[in-house]
Amino acid sequence: MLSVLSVDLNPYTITLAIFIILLIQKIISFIGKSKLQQFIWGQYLKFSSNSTIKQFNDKQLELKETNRMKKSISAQDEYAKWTKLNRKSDQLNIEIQQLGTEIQSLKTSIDKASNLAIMVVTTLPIWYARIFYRKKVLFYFGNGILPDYIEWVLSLPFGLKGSIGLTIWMFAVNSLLSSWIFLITFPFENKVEKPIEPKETKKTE
Amino acid sequence: MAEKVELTPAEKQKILRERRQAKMNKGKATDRLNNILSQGSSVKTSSVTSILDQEKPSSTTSSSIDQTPSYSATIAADEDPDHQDISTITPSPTEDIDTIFNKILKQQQDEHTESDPMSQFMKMFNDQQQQPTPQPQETKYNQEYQLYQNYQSKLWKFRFLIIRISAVLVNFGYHFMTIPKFHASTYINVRDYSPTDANISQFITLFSAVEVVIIASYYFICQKYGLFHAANSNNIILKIVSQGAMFLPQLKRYEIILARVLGYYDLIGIIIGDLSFVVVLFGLLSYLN
Repeated sequence: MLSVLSVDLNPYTITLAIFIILLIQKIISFIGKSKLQQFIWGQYLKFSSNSTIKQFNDKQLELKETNRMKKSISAQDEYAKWTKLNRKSDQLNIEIQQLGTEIQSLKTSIDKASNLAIMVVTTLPIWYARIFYRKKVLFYFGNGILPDYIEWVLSLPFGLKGSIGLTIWMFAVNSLLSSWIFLITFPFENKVEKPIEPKETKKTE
Repeated sequence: MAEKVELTPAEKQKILRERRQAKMNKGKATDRLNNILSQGSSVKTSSVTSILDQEKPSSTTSSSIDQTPSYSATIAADEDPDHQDISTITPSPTEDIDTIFNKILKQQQDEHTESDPMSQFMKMFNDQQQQPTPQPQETKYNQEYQLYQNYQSKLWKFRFLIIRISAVLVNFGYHFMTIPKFHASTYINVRDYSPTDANISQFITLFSAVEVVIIASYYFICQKYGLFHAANSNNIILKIVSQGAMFLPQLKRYEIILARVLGYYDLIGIIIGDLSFVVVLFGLLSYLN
């Protein structure tokens, strides 16, 4: 039954696809899923045609303008105007709060959608490959390049000696990508200076 | 008329003492005691025996007492006892609570054997009590030094990573460009078993030689700067074992072995990392064949 779901792919396609998927996975784990979700939400707010969001943005701008006008006049000199502006800003705050609650539920659904997208792009293909292509040979080494014992280890667990299977390929790619991420990120880390040893206080007699 | 002579309190006491002594010497102490005890009742119910009529104690003690001439004069029943020096009775001025605690723990230590886990725990606790408390400055310095060591460990890893990547790229690139059979393929015919080019095995020879040099240098530097210890201090397995060693001192021995194994694992990781790089290069370039 499972064989119905399998797709016969060129080994090199699988090799490259796994490499790209693992690369995306590493980038996402490095950036952080929450930051990515914030970014997606920000883009959605900017380009969305949703009326609630447009209303929310308009109300926020109006509130900002009202507060600016309120601060520019004196409450004692222009009491009536100030009171009117104050009432308006209170009303806007309430409306923004209500719209914010509606948008919050929208944000939750966007977060769920982005989580699903990340899973579909990174996790599902890996599991699919592990189930359907676990015994597939991805490529063979040329004869004599590596010693027999190394070829035997690299062919584990299902392959012929001198071949590379999915397991070893994924391990090798993960190892390489971890090293490269460390190589790129380390120069941006804060340098730690050697601390000065505290001098022992001598008791004065 | 003769004047009344006022007696001093001491003289009065002396007279009273002599009268009492005379009465006691008459005997019948038990009858007098029972009279006192049954006073107020018509029937004499008391039947106690006075201490004066009881059997005298052993001769040695009694003789020593009898031989003291002024014994009866000094030990009068109604006389207040001499002021006693209570410094021998009362405890010494408050001892330091730590000293008392240490005494208790030492006592417990002596009582129990080594195999008793409770005694081991108490011993460990006692040892910790006896250790001097580190100053806040020292603690801060130790923490900062640990951060510094972690940074140094990463810095050296970074430096060696650049060297490793460069070495593998140069070695691979040279052989890839110069030797036609130096490639991988998705087809099995690349495993042609005809006699191979002698230079093809140069790659692994060079690779092994470079790896040995890199690992030896890395090991030397890490030993010199104590970076293995810094890396291991963050290891969770080692942390668990060191926590367990507080309750089971036998684990201390394994902690040392484990630290060494983790150090060697770091070195083996260098070979595995470089070999992985070679595999990925072959894999990504396999489309060319």
